[in-house]
Amino acid sequence: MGIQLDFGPVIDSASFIAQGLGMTLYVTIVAMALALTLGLVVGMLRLVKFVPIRMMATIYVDFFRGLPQLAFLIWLYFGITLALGIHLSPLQAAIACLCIQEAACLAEIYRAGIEAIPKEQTQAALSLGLTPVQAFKDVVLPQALRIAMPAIGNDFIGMLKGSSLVSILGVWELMRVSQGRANYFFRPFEFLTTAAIIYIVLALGLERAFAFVEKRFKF
Amino acid sequence: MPYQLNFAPVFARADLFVQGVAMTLYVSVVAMSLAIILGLIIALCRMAKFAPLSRVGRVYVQLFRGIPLYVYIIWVYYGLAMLLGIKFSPLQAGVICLSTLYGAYLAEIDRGALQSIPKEQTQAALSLGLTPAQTFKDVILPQAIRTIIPPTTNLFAIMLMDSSLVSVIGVLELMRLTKIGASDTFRSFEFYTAAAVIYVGLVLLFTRLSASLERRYKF
Repeated sequence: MGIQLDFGPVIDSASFIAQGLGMTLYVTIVAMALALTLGLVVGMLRLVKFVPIRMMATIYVDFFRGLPQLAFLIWLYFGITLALGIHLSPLQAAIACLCIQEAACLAEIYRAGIEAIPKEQTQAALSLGLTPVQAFKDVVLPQALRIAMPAIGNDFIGMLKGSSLVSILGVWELMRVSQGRANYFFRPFEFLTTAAIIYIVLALGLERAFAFVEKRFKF
Repeated sequence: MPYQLNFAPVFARADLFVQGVAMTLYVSVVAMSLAIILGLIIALCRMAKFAPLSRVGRVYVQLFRGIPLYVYIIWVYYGLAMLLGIKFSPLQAGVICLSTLYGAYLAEIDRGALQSIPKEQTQAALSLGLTPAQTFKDVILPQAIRTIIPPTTNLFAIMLMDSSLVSVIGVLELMRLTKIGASDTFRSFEFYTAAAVIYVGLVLLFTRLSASLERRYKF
């Protein structure tokens, strides 16, 4: 209240904040894991020769990359579930939204990685007797993933920050917990600053960690 | 009882969408203009030989790369306002948040572009008798602008999406007005679908515009 800063309630709420952080990490990791697979599928569909499928994949990517996160969260949770008559928990809706949008972004990253591999690689693999599937799975894809790794790591950090929005649906992740505690103690500045610092430390820490891992695995 | 689609109320309240798009564009343009100026200043700070100045620039960029926009907006509107004892209008808080955050991203873009100009250019200009200020304004900056424009327009498209977040503090832009329309008419799915389509349309439109802008300035 006023200009008297008091971080006492924040320290007292440490266990709540830790649970919130746990939920944040859970949502981000689960959504990312699903998106990594879905994104690879869509990315490959973007490269098929059959035009209708390629067009649908392109529409998917362009649509979900141009849709604001907030709009999609609210549209899915309050609109689509209503129209389809299905019932999603806030957590399910949150993970679904994060996953679908991230898959669209990852599809582009995968596609760029795959297209960066010179087609001589594929030609050499085929001339050595590998089937097209083997050529893709064992020659092109591993190289493409190596190229895509830094961008994927970056996206993961972005998703961690984006997970703060799912608090709007009621998921008790870090932001929601902080706001809840802030409202309970009437101390918005202290709790929100703590939340902000946790996000910043997490994001910067992960950035350093990824850079370190990339440097060590560079060959 | 299955949900009956009915888009009539959406068209009846088309005025909400027009107003929403106008406010969204207004917020984005104002915030982007401020961000561009701020970005250039921060980039120059980071490149300064005066150590404290460059440290300030570096810390600024690090801070804003780690904080989610949503957390930042809530922090400014509720936390900072309480700390400073002043009350921001939702629009002011929204523009402050968007411009300072995007200023950090632009600072990195600007710094990269400015550092990519070979320093022989600066040396040649100075040896021809231009002052440092003239060198920057008439030799370095025009060349750097060519590299700065594509990422900047891309960032603007992203800002159009992020502007939806200022709806949470009450700015009457597209997202907020859609929510109001949806709750007035109980047609959540139809209204949010319309908003989603409008956002994607805006972003795609803008991406096409910036692509053609890039093509025009390619020489």
